[in-house]
Amino acid sequence: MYDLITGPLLWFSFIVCIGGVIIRLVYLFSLSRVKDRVLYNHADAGWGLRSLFHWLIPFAGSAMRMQPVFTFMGFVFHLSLLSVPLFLSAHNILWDENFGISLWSMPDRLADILSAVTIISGLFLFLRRLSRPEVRILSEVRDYILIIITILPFITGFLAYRQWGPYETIFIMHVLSGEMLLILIPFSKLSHMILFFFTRLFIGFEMGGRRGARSW
Amino acid sequence: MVDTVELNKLLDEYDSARIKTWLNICSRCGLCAEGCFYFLSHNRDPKLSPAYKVKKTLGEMYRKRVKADDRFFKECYEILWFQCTLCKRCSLYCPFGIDIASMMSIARNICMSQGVSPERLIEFTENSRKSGNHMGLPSEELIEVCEWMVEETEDEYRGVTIPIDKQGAKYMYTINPREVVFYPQDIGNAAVIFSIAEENWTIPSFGWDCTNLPMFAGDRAMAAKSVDNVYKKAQELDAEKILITECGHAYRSLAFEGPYMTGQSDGKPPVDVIHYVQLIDEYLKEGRLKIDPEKIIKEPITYQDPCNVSRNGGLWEEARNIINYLAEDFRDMTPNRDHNHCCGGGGGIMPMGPDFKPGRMKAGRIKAEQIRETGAKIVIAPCHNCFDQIQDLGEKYELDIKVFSFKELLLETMIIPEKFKPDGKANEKD
Amino acid sequence: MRRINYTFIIKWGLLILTLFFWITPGMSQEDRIIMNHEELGIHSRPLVIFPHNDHEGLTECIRCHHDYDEYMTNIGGDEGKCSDCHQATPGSNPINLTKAIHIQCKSCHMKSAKTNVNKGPVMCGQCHIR
Repeated sequence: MYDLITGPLLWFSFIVCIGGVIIRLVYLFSLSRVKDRVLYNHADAGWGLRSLFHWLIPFAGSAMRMQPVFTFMGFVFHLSLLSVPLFLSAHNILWDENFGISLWSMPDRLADILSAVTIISGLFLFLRRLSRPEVRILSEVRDYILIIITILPFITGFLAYRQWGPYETIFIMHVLSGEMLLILIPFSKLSHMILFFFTRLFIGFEMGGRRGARSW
Repeated sequence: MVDTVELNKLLDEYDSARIKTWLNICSRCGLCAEGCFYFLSHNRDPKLSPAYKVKKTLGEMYRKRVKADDRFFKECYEILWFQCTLCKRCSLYCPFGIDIASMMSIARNICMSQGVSPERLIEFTENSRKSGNHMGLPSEELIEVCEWMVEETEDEYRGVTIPIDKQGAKYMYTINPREVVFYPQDIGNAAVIFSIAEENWTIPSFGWDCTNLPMFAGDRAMAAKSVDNVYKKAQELDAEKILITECGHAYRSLAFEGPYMTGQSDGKPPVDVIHYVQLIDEYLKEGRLKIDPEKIIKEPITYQDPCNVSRNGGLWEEARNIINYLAEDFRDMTPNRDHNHCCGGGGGIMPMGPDFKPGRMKAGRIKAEQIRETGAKIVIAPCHNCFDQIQDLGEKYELDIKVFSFKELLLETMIIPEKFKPDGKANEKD
Repeated sequence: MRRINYTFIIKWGLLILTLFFWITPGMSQEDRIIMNHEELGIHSRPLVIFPHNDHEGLTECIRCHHDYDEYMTNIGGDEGKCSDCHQATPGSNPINLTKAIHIQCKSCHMKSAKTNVNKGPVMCGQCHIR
């Protein structure tokens, strides 16, 4: 089982994730050359980057200041969500053993705390979805499921690290849920992790490059 | 009955990389709601959140495709025309910068292709088709009004003229047909200002309607025709620039949407388009118009940033510069400039008539509160829709305000050089 | 007739049992090696207990106790420890200690997992047991 899920299945997930994202980007790019002249006509690096950075820095956009708790939780969620899988020492050891490359590793204690933070902030987002009327009315079942799928590798990773519960089952679930997440990236709303940069640049061009107005 | 062929054709045509991306990545965080004045003025009704409105209209159109029925379009009708003025403020509140207003515009176009659009807007569109202006006025009527206005000015000024169809003018002045019918004084005022600034200008006998109600109705072909009328006429008259009266959506339509409607590959209008606030700002800076220090307005004054002039036009400092010359006690609203709130009269709802006034008044609550907070007695609105809406809001919310256009205030405060004073009056003073 | 003193038996029984389990690891030190390398500092994961006896006969000694001559032929490395050659950070030997141990164990265990013969643990927590 370990052999299968960390071998062929993992390769499959990586290929689907990266390949899917590339295919999607190429498709959108070629479509945009035909149908989105407006994207290129008003391109302006200064406005584009300002539009981007105002939404990458906490509380830089005015909407973020209107919902400070959500903003804080949202940033904490995204930061821990991205940093734990990339900088967990055990993951880097696997990278190193298999490909001879690795990133900086964070201490296990920190990774442990950040996993808990991801789970808690993810649950906050889930509850916010349920409790704020203007968010609940927008939400579909798949939006709730996506949050659960996103934090699943962190729940199982957290349990596996502490060896709480049936270790082997949890370990397998950890790997499988991580792979599911990778596969979902190009096909679900998770694709915003890449497309975010393009939509932000566009609105920067559209509001700023074209009209001189802010988009944050 | 739903014309599925046309529906499918349009859906495919509009299915750009932007639309695909926007509809796909919206993660339903609900932050856009914070930006919407409809949402805020209706006690945070979740059904008025911009993301919900776009999901229920364009989102559903792409999801349902040919399965969309008449009932669906009826629901869209309510949302698209009476719950959104296309003010584009929500884009500033979306973490992904999704251009929700553009999607609402597209949804309007698709509805219109099914014959679903407010009756009055369809009427205006038909007028535009027949006559080139949304009121359906013949050229003669415009010329008559111009002549009448020149006569009117003769009591107070000397040498005011309105050149019609003059070749090679610096500005081809385009107006809102409402001015011809309801506010001819506005044309007279413009003529006085041009004459005193000794400007080389003209009003065209055709293509003088700068507005674009077919754009709000959702008739793409006619909207394109409307801007093309103006562009073509400006080229024909060899005018240096197209000047737009104090109207908001006309500026958005001619300067920003028009180039794409008429297929300009660089996204820019074939002839430069400028708004009236730019012109006055320029005149005051260059000293072509001077303000009488004794006439400077002392009452507290505030400025309504029209969405399509400020946020969607990038012109907000111009207006503030002008007010600096005109008035002592300027009090800005909060929020302002590109973050201003729509007055509630935009997106074509204003000309739809009195039936829709209760809705406008409810939506305008935010604007009324903003104005009240400034304590201003005078509101300047360089947009006909804002002007009318704020006047209505003033009555409804008992704001005790007077609404003015820049032209009106300018005429009250500027110095009339001796050579423009009528003989009789000049003699009386001596 | 003497009454059987249960308390006495339980007390002594427990004591002997405790001593037995205490002594056992001590006696078989050679068999159950606690992989605690001080040069690596405080280990972030639980220490691995390596049952040496269980591995004898499964493979040749020089597979783990390896050393190479200039022709890269494994000439065997006596009864040395990994850390005799592999340093905490790669020095004269390019493979660091952690990586050397991980590869040494896992390469075999992965293979055995595939063949289903003499299966060894492959998941992190199966060796680093809390």
